[in-house]
Amino acid sequence: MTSRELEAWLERLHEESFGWALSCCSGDRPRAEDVLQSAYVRVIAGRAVYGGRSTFRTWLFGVIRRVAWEHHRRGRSERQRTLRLEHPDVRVVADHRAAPDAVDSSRALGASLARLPERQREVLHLVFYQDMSIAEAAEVMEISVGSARTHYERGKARLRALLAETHERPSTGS
Amino acid sequence: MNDRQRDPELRALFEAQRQDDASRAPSFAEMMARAQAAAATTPATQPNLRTRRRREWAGGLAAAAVIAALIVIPRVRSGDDAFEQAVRSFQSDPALGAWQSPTDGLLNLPGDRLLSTIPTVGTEPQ
Repeated sequence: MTSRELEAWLERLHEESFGWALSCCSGDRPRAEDVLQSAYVRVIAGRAVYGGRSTFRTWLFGVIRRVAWEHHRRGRSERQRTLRLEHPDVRVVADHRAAPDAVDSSRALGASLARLPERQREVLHLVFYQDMSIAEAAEVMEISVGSARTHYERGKARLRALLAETHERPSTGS
Repeated sequence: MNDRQRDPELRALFEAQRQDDASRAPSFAEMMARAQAAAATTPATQPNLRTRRRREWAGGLAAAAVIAALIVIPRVRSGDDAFEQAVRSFQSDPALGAWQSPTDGLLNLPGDRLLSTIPTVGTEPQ
């Protein structure tokens, strides 16, 4: 694949890739942009090479996912180091997002997805947002199809419950 | 009905989110220009994470093998050396290689030559 063809593919998949990067970064837009750019660097510099064993999109999503994981790991260790330096006694706790306070469906979906375990969020995003099959999602996530299906079913049930909870709860302002 | 056709209400929610994200997606041209500038400054030979991990593992295993060899080989060699030395000394002088008990001297009794020799007529015993 020539560099021109590579760029054409990246451009064609740009919006989908950004959506996937957003999902991998829990909706953090600046971080998603960094991740996507790093993934592009990796692809055009030849540090991630498409072997043709899967579709280009599946492969590219795998690269984005790996880059996002590396960014997340690096960012987490830096945040923990900063917290320890500023407050030696502070305990690092999980970053739970606030409960959804808006009835806007897109925001409610984003907030509910943020409360799901990572694997469930990923498989739901790939199947519903990216219109992939569960087998393709499993390939991106580097897990077995059976495992992906389990995450998919559990994630769907949990997401429905969270969305129902959001609709039942009265809006708390802001 | 396959996975893509199920759950239309969830699919509609995700579609709304998809359109929202698409409208806010950064420009591809700008991002690609930045990526190309970054790629130009990044060494092409820098290995990716997986390759780096493989090399780290291989390096660790090689170091462990070297340490194990350094511990085990001198022991084996010292045993071999002692054996070879014993063989060499036996070849040069069998008496050096023969084992002798420290209490062998107690078996030497006074006049034991009389018991171990046959007397002959006409000669005095020594």
